[in-house]
Amino acid sequence: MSELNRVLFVEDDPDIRAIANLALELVGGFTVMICPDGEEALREAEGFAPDMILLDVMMPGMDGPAILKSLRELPALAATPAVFLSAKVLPTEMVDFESLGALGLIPKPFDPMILGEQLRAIWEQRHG
Amino acid sequence: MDDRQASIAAELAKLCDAYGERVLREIAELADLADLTNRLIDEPDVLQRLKNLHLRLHKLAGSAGSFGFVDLSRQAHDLEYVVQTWLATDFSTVDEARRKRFADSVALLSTTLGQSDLILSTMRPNKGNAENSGSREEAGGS
Repeated sequence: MSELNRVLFVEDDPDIRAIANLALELVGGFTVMICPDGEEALREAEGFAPDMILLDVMMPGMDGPAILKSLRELPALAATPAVFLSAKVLPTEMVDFESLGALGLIPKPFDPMILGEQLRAIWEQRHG
Repeated sequence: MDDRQASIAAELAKLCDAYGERVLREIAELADLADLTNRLIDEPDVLQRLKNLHLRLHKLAGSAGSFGFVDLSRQAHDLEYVVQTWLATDFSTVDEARRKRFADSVALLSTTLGQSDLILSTMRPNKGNAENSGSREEAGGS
């Protein structure tokens, strides 16, 4: 089974970016790229070649689902596993997310000491 | 605590301290925004102010909880929900006393900052962090 190593995270809140960086890099041991918005994610994603994409849902301008939809148009990222991070999602919204290839939702606020484990669990469920 | 855990704990402490300072400024700005929204209820941009308040309380609930400030996260979430209901109805029908209580509650958020649960948990010897995640997921999320 291939390992989860490289995570692209898109999040507009600088505080969440900071704590997520600790959670994913220092605690989780991943190689991480964190983008503040969709524009930067679209510029950097192909070169970074993530194994998984993690996105906040509620963001100004392009929201998480819109960003994922745009990333999916890049051939290299058409099937990259994706996970959303959000405080609350309606069941109908989750169906929409799944139609974009999202594997799951991690609730906010998240625990930075287990965020990496949560992503690995989702990865292993997909690849197991 | 081994070297890796000590390194994580140290980095976490720095982040939480910096966040604590920033969030006090954010709360002060939110209190001003709530007060302004209350006093200028008849202004044409009151709806935009409410939406701004809603988004910032939502963000605060998420970030505070993720940094281990569980009480602050819960209270921000409760206030976020109040604004959400006002956005779904007619804010102009909300009586002045209720609007004033809301504005006062936003100002009082700074008193709920406390100490980060994350910091407290890293100070406990060899405790699994998963046992702390339940309370963080309950706070500010639904």
